[in-house]
Amino acid sequence: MVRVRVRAFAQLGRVLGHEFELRLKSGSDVGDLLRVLEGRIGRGSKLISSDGTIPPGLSILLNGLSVQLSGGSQAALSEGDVVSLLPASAGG
Amino acid sequence: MKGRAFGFTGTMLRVNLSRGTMEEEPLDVDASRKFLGGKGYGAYILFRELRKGIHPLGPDNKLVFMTGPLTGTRAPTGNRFCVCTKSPLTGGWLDSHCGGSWGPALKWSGYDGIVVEGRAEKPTYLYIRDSQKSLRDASWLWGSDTFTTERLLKDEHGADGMPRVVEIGPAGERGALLAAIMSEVRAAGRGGPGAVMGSKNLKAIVVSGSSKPDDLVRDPAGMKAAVREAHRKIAEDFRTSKARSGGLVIRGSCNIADGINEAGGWPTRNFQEGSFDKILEVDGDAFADSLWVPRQSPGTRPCWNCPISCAHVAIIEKGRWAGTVTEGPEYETVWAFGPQCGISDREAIARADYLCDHFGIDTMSVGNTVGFLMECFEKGLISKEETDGVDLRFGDAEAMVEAVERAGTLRGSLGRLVGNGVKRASEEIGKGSESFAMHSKGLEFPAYEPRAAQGMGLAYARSDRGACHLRPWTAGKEMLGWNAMDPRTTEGKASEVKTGTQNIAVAWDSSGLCLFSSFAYDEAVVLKMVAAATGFEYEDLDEFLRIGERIDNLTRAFNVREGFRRKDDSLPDRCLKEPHSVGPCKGLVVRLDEMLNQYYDLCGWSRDGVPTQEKLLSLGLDFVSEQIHGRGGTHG
Repeated sequence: MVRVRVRAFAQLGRVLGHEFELRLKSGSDVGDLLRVLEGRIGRGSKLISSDGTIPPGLSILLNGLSVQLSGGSQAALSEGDVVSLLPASAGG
Repeated sequence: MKGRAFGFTGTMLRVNLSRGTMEEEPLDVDASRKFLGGKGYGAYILFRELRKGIHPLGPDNKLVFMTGPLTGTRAPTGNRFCVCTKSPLTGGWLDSHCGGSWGPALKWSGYDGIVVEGRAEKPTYLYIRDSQKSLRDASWLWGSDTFTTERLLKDEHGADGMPRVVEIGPAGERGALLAAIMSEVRAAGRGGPGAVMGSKNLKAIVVSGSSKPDDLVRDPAGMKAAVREAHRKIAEDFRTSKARSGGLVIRGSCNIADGINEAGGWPTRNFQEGSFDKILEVDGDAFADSLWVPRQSPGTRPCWNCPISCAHVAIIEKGRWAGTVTEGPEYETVWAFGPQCGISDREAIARADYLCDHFGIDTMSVGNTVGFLMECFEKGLISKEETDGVDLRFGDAEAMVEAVERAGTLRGSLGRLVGNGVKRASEEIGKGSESFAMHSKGLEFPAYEPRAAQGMGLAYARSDRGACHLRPWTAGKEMLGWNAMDPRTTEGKASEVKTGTQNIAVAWDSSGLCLFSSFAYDEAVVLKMVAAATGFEYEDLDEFLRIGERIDNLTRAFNVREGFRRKDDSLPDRCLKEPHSVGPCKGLVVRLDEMLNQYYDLCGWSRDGVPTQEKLLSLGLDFVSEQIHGRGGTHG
């Protein structure tokens, strides 16, 4: 078992809750986490593509760093990790 | 000039306020092919016409209002104009950009740009309607805020079509070094252009014209196809698409606040921390849910020809600031009056935004400076004597708003300290405060913590106008997760900053497009539109992008001529010596020297930051090389 902290923003935060703890099987990766959360959201909402990749409308940070830097959806999760779910954003 | 200009009107207006003269002159088409318009053409004018060492607020300084070849065409977001001058805040190069409707209206009135010289004896405004122009008395407007000024001038000239106005407020009139030039609540805000306009006794420029977008274009069919492609890409992108409820559309520029904060990159309490614990009270959703009126409501209006429509309008309906209506606040403004000052009161942030627009002063630099003074106050470096009795502490929303209000008119000691920016304030206060006065070259830091993104540190330090988040905006790659770059390392950052800076300089800051369109389409699409509009036949994309390198070397040389060197490509000690406190970059400082060496080498500049003669000549900048190196070449 591995416990991670999820922080979700914008529409995802409204649906899932802004911050909560999630328990996953040991050896889980970011893709596993997304599948669990997708199940909570319900039909029609895709947090992970059918090919196992993260859809372009979603940005995920693992401990504050883009998950792209550590393997994308295959990034391994460790006890105490913080996973931030953000809609694709740009501006400034 | 050879041949007719397309994409441009082909005519510039030169106004000498000392003599009261207005003369038309042809746009130099050869120069516009080499420097395009906007920033590039403005730099081409000012490098040749401004003497080294002139006072930025004296009559010898000039103010260039310049459009790009896509301004006023059907290119989506083609609504930008820029203001170029010698900055009173930095003493170096300044280009500051603005959207809205004024740029297109200037183009349709018959001019690509206006060069303003000298100083009027009394308050004056310039009125242009379809190439008919006059200098008029503005004594009756002097002292008016920007909203009143614009309304009065539109009332005065409303019978003559649809007049558009740029103006200054009391901040510019009084020479506040942070003063902005405003137009329809939008700002050419950075670097103090409003103070330059005020020093010339020029209150406003009113333009209206009856040309149409298609009148300007060389190849209407090619333009139509390129514009269709640009629109399609904007409609498809998750960030810019209305149909996909894109972040920019729904939550405005503040849609990035959550991500930047999660990455430890949202500077808090004057960059003492990199993450704001009350983020959910001030992010884009929080404003959308509370203060912003629904989109498409009366009074909400995007910039001309913008399919993205990032702008929102906030209304405070009750309480101490009831009746306040403001466009925004935008991401940078939310940060400046929010986390930077330790404040989560949305109404206070919106009120401060309104006051800055009202007085015509830069929200980003004002908020940065207020946060700095809060730290000074809490550390006992200044007292209530310097703050005119205001208890200026982090988290005190009333005190923050009071400081902003005073800055707008430079009122009292506090107003003067805030309104002239953080560099002057720290020099006056001393006592080591310079180490946490967050600026580069005198321009205040924006809303990104450089210790949480090494590339942003290099971008702030090397920027021609001082600490700027747009030259380039590496934050997207370093902190928001698209085409990700590791924010902790310096690897690849010099190249990213060089390429990004140059590409932005040509494809957006000199074309007349808004930088937000770059999230949806790239430089190749811009080139298609520029080529169709102008008829310029660039050999390939590389030749087009080479313009950006030429412009960046030109503004660099402008600063070198003023004495800027490597020592000025600097960051405060807080970034270089105090390790970051939170997030993935905890324990890190900006490794600036290492990146500067790589950056200068890539640019073909000396290790002191001076473009080499060889580099300048290779870019066709012979006239620049002569001034920097002499005819024979003396400086490596």
